[in-house]
Amino acid sequence: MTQLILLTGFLGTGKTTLMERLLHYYGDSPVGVIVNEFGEINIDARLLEKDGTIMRELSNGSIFCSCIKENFIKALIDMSSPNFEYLFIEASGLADPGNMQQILQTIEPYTVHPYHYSGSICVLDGEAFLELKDLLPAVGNQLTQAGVVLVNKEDLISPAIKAEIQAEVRKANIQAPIYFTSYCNIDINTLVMNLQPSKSASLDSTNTPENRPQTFIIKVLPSVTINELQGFLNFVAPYTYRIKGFVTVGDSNYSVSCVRSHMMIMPWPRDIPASEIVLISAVGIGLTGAIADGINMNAPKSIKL
Amino acid sequence: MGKELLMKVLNHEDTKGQLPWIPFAGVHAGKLKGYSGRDVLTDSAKLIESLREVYKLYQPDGMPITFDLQLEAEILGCELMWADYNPPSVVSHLFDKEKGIPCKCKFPTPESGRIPVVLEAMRVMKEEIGDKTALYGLICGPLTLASHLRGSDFFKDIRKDPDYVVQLTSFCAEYAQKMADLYIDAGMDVIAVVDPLVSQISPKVFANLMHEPFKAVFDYIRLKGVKSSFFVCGNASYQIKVMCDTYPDSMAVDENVDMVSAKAITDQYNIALSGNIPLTTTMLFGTQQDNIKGVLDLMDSIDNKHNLIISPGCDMPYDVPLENTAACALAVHHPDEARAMVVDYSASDFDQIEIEIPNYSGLDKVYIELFTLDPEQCAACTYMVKSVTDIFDEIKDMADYIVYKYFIKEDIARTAKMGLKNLPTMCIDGESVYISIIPDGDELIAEITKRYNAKHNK
Repeated sequence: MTQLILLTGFLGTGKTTLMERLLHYYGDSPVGVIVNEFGEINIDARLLEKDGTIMRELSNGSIFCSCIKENFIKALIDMSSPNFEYLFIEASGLADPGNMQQILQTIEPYTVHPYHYSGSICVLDGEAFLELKDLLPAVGNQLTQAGVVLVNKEDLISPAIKAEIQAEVRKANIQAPIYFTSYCNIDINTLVMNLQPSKSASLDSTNTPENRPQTFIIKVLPSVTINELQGFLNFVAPYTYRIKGFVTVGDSNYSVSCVRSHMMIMPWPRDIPASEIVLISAVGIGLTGAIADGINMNAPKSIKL
Repeated sequence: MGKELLMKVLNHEDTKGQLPWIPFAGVHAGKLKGYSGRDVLTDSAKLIESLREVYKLYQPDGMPITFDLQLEAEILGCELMWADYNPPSVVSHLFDKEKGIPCKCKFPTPESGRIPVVLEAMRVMKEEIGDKTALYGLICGPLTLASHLRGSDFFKDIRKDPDYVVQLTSFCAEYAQKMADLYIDAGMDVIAVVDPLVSQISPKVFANLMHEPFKAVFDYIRLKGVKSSFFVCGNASYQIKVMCDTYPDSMAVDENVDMVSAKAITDQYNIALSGNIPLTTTMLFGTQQDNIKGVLDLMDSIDNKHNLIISPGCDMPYDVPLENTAACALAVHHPDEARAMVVDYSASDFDQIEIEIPNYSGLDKVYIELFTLDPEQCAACTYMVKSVTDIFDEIKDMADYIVYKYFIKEDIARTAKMGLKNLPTMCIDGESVYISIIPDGDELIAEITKRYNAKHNK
């Protein structure tokens, strides 16, 4: 029997950091990973690449949306063969997992080794949660379907905000244990032991092909400078839910991650498949103009669509 | 001459008075090889053969590969009606019964619908003539695509449900970006966003609801490193400024727009203007001399030759005589020689055709006359005719209607006799009531009822 654990949480909350910690903790056990990215390029899969881990990438949509749900079902059936101890699924930040249990019922007759659904860990961005909670129905459903809620970035919030978050989470989910952390630094054993499937009723996922936010891929040439890149990212970030990718600047590689005004450009020690950044629009088609202006003002020769 | 000249104009450079020429030979290309419109829009070999002929006979500085605003709607599930000598027209709408937004999984791919036919022709023409003439990939604009998907109720939605209009046109703009990707990858130098319906909505509506989707498409094309053009048909005189605000590199208008006035506006934005040889009266029914004189008069009327391209007003009718188009090419490329050929020539007209104007006040019912370019092939005309046919059951006891077509000589003469300057126009009892504006059903029923009651002293 494979224990199946789902990681949810809006874009940029720290799901990939938590996944790294889970993989580190269970490093000696047979584990599988499914990484779902909303954009066309699977950045998180690159971040999680590790020798010996069997990983499946599902990109370009939410695994709970009909656009790639079929691929998700196939991946779950395939990943039931090796008899992992754990299968971790990192859902896209825009994923609405309301239909997770329905999907598991659908695949039950086809799995080689059965899954036991341990539940979902919902990672919240403590600093942004109160602002984002009503933004998209998917965010609310991630919370109501959670078996454990991990409020991340505790170091950035005051006790009063912490109390407010606690109350809001309880309003949405009366059962799930709530943990406050920074950098998802939590005792993994405690977290997993306290995890249980949500008792909230299954729902149709609000992820539909019609309401997918628009994504853009930006190509960054090595001639770009860090200042130009920062200038561009600063300009476009307010129009996005999330920006992430890998870039080459001069001779060096960097990982790029932006959530609202928080930007991180960190040296990346390994090779990268392409110097590209994915932007997920928070303003629909209007992001096109922001990208055009951002490029013109900051790096007209080094950043391209 | 050639691509270099046209690209200079699109880059807003000085061409020392030399003007580029673009024949908009859509289905007309097929005529040159004896193929039907359907042949060239469904068979890449026939399309390629026909485009080679366009290049050889018309010496274009730029040319479109196809001119078909229905391709996208067909992929998304609308049914088309095909005609031998015209592009197809949309006859069923995906969301005419219930509002909806198509699935983004239906975004176009190189394999979707008839796109493989277009891409194959693009690749071959790029290889054969791509360094000598600029190639245009034409895509359906967000407003016209949204109308194809929703049907004539879209004009009611503009008034009653602007949120839905924003959602649907955003989808259509994203769709247009994907189409642009495909055509740019196939080597197109210019992406033309063709949206005839822009002339049918007010500048205010355009600014409020259409600015963002159109600007997103033009920004995107610019980011991809190619040139853009905004094609509009019909009387877009009042929309030129709001169209300029979306910043295409160039704009193309038809004979309904006064080029001199339009250019005064486009010049302020440093946008190139293309137009506007009359399609029917000059190109289809005129003589070679009419065409030479028409082009020379057009060029002479515009003092500032910077940012100027000479082209037909829109997609050329299938049956335009090839000698007329060749005459236009001659007049643009060799104006001095052409001028010598038409000294003392006066253009032919349709005045001699006898036309009887109805005695409107003597008619029992209200009489609706729909003056169109072509009720099936001109999208604006289609939707204006549909605005009447859709509600006709409700007004048939009060009104009759008739459709006139500007490719029939008698109808051209009637249009002139009525003093109409713009098409489509809807006249009611002889009065021009809707000029390049499509009324919604409720409004039209109220107008007919009011006039019928007045006629019968109710």
